[in-house]
Amino acid sequence: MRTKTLSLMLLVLLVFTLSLQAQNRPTLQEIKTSLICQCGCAMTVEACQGAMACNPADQLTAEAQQLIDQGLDKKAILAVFVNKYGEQILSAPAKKGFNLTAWITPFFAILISGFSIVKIVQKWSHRQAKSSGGRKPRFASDQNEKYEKMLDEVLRDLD
Amino acid sequence: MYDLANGVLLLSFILAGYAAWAAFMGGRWRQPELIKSAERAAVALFLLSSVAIGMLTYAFVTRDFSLEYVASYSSRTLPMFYTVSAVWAGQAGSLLFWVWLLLMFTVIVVWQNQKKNRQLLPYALGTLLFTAFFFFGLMVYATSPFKLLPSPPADGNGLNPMLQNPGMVMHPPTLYLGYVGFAVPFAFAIAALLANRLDSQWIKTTRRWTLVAWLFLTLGNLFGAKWAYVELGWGGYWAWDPVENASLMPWLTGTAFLHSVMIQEKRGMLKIWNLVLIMLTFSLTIFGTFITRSGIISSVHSFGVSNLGPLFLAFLGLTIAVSSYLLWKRWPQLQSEHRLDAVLSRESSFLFNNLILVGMAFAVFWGTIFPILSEAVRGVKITVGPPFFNQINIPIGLALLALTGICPLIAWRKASKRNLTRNFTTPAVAGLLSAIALWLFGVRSIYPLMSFSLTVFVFVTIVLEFYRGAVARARIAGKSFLVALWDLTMRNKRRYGGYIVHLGVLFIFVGITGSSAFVKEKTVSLAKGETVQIGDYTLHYRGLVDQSTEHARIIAAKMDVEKNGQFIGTLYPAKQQHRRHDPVSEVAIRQTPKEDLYLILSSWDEQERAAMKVLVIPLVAWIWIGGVVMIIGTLIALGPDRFRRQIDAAQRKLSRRQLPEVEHAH
Repeated sequence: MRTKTLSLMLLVLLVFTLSLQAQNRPTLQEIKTSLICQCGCAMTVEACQGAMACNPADQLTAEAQQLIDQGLDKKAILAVFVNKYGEQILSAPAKKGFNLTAWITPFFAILISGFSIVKIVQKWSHRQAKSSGGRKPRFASDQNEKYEKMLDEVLRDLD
Repeated sequence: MYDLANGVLLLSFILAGYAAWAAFMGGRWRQPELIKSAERAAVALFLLSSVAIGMLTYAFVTRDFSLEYVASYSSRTLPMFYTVSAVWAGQAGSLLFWVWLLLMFTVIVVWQNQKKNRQLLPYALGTLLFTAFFFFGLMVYATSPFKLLPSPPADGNGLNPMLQNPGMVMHPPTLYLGYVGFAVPFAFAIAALLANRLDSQWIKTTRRWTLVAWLFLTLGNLFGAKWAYVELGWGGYWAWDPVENASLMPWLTGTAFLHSVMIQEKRGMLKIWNLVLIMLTFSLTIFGTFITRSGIISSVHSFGVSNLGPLFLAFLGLTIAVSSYLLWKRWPQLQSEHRLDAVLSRESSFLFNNLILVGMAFAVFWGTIFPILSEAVRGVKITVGPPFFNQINIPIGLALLALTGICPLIAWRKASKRNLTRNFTTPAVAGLLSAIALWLFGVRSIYPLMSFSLTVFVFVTIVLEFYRGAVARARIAGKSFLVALWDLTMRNKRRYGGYIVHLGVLFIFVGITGSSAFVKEKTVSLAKGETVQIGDYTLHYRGLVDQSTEHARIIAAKMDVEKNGQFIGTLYPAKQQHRRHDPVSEVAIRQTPKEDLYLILSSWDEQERAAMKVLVIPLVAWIWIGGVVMIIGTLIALGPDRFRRQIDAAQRKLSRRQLPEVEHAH
């Protein structure tokens, strides 16, 4: 009984793994979009092949198809291409090592700048509240609605 | 004759040097005669450059292949329309075209400022003329369009077939008009710093220039995208190519500038930031020109490797160095008249909008230069292509879309709870409901879901802004809703023109989302008589058709198209083989607002079996519709202020009111 259960579990695991593998099996288009054509056009193989008659693009497509047929996953296929042609064959830098800075720097810069803006504005509004002797900030509440509305109207006109 | 043309260029170079000097020194020494001399020299330079570009055009039209430039970019069989456009198809001709446009703008600036801005004009003029001096220098010493061949060929090389497209005829001039247009606000910014006139005058003077430059840059990018879509034949319109990026970056910073100047005009804030933005925008236009012409980064659009790279880099360095020095020198006088009152305010939301726009420009810049950086640091060549730019820019773009809706709804100074509730409830509910509806209709990917629901959110905010304004106006003026709506837009063209531009941006987002996330694609090999099914379409391949013309061999596949069983037309995807050029695809497109049927003929054999790529690209037409809406909105915002007097009166009213709280703040 125990063995049967174990076998059944192994079978389920095998089927699951195989189905995952099937899901991981990349499409040719996926690979062609991940590779830059080596004809000098600076487009992906996918784009170059559509745009013009291009021997390098046809060759890379054939190689990709061969590797897909061998059952390799996307990562392994791209590794084969990198070994053969160098990193510049990839249409985007790998997310590791120095190349990681390509991916994170823009977000890091935006987040740091955004955080700085919030802090500076908070500091300014705090300083203004202080200099106004603890009075409520201007137009802060609905009590000042009348003035706020008036000012909004004028500013609207000036937009 | 071409000795005369080279002489014109040399004379222009010398005259531009003198004129720039006269303008700067005239301003510094306050010598009206010198300034007048510089103004006259600017007019003379425009005339000289017109003569030069006229001679080059004449050489193209008369097929004078003794000129290397004409022989390189035209041929006897090239249609006249493209022959004229070949004037700016190559390196040297496009430089001449650039400087001609710059001088045309300079003359307009001189004419506009005959009786005003006399303190700023000399320095602005000096900056523009110095830029012209640099460009003339390039043509005199590095690459002349009037270089003669020792033995003229019987026929020229012809124009690259990919450039033989109406989109490509319009793309460079509009792009150059945008690039050159931004030189004007930049020149006035430099003038404001040199003349120590650091109020908002330079911004008010150049508001229309900025809008015009932005409009042309928008047009340039759209024409480029349309050209890529119909001509490059891969089903896309933006490939994140370095040269495409080069025109997107100044557009992004220019857009940020257009928004942030409003804060300076209204509240005397962000003075330094606005100067930085326009300096950055101008520098990025030069950077773009450097990328296109240096050959430092490979691109399908670039002019190839040339000796111009170091010269452009030097000019870029000089621009940045002088701008930074002037900014540093005037830093104490550039402090804001007011401070931001709260994080939740219109002013802050504009700052965040600026942050996202500049952040996106930085992300594009970073991706563009990263291959050079990688090679310098690791000694390894890498490529940064579309997958990188898409992954980085989609979240940033969505944040920008959200801010497009949020910014106009937040009150100035500090948003109250009432303001937030009143303005955001309906759009937020609409956005949320659309997200639920899309989910129920099977849209599961997070980015399209977010993009479409944010689009609905922003759309509702814009509609509500028009609706509320028109209802209030109809009530006050006792007019019908439609008349009030028209009145409202015409009374405040800048504001409502801006909203229409935002509407165009929304349509573009819809187009980009639909065409990126829901494309159906099939690669097929069809024998004559065979059929392929894609989406609602059935395509019958009827065989190959020879459509050759006198200057190209064209083979097309005849495809009868049915939609839901109904015949809707015949499409002819083709391959063109021009003499001395590689074969190129000529795609066939059936466009509707819902989707495009896009056919690419890849190859064929002797039995007429054709390899083909068939795509159904949803919503892509909305990109072009959005572009048109953006242009309409910009033209409205540019329109003459018929109610300027009323606005001035409102300004006076505001200063008279001097609310107690405002007085306290001072």
